[in-house]
Amino acid sequence: MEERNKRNDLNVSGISQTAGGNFHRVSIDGMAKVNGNLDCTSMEVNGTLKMHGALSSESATINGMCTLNGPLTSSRVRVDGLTTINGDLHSPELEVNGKCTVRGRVDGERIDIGGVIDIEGDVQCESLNVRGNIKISGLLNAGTVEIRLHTSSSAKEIGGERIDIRRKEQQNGFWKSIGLGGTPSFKTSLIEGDEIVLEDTEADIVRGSNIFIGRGCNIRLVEYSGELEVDQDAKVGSSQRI
Amino acid sequence: MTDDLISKKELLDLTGISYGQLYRWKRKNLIPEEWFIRKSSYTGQETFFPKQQILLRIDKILNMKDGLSLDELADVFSPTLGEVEMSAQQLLERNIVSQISLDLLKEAGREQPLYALEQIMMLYVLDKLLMSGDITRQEGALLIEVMSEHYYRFTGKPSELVLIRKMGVPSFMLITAGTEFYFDNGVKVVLRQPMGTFMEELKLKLG
Repeated sequence: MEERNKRNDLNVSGISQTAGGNFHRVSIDGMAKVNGNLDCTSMEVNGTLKMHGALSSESATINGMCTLNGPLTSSRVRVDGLTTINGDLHSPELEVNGKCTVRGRVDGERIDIGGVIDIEGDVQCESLNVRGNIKISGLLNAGTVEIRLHTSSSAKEIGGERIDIRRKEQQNGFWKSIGLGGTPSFKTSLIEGDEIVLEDTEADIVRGSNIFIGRGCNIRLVEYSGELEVDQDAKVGSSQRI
Repeated sequence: MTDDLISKKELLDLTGISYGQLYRWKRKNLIPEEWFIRKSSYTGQETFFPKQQILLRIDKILNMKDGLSLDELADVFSPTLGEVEMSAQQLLERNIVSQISLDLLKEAGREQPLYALEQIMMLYVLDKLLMSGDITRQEGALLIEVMSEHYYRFTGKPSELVLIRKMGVPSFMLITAGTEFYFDNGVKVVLRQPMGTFMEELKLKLG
């Protein structure tokens, strides 16, 4: 850290292009293009940033628009704007309230999604909390998964300890009024976990110990070792105790 | 060479662990990604594991879990090399290698005042194979050569050590774990061992 304090700050207020390098604080208020790797203590983007290279920063806050062509490594990432990462994202804490697209895998501890996230690779974390829209094309592996459905979300597969997918209590006026993203639903091929609670979920196979299949679910096969409870408004093709 | 595979369901049945535990261990890198083999079956896609390796690993995790935290365990299983430096004297004292292996190394002209983990690993493998009678001294010299020249290429990646003999002429190979290979009839595969197991044993000894 001390060494980092000796570094210079990088401030971009107008339009500028830089080669990257090591900095202390980086703040982008205008439009910037970085052609190379960037290593810094903190990164704040309020304007537009386009990067060709890897970004490594203690914390990264993106309020504007940001395109990274390279991996992002940070201990804290917050996206309130629009971000595209053409690479892996590694951050113990990730919070997305805007829209984030990751064309790689995501590794973290705590992931909070209030907006929209689209991930092409696998996701690995201890807790995933979603109150928005999520699309994962790979495997979601998390300790606890809590998803409150607003629109249609999906993941290829889910594995974990506690998996809780339910519709939001009352459909909030905003998402409904803009009518985007379709009706609240979750689509996946496979869910495996110890404690599973589902609503409005369409899945091929659900496996676990204690399973609750709530309203609006459509599941082909359920395998359970503990208890299974199925709501009368749910469709379950077959269930089997193992 | 096809390894015996075990499906995820059978594995959980057999070991009594839960889905949650399995996924947690995967997250903590206690079970390497490449052991999760996706295959299509009559119920769709299913995950299989190399039977021998996964059963051994789960047994180890269950047995060592009490003494070590999951993160410490991950360190034991990770194929990456930490920062250790030891002299020949220390290695002898801690019973990690024997004098014979050190002498062989000396003959090969690769003696050093201090050995990094990579070299300790090489000595350890050499020592184990010599002591178990799997290889001869002459083959030991070959092993030193192949490991000191090429092992660094596998840093952080799982690899296997293979010894073949054709008409009594030995040859060592380092290969990426799980690779298939075939020989003509005259070749006998004497030994095929994942380097990871050596590293785990060594790390436990060092730790």
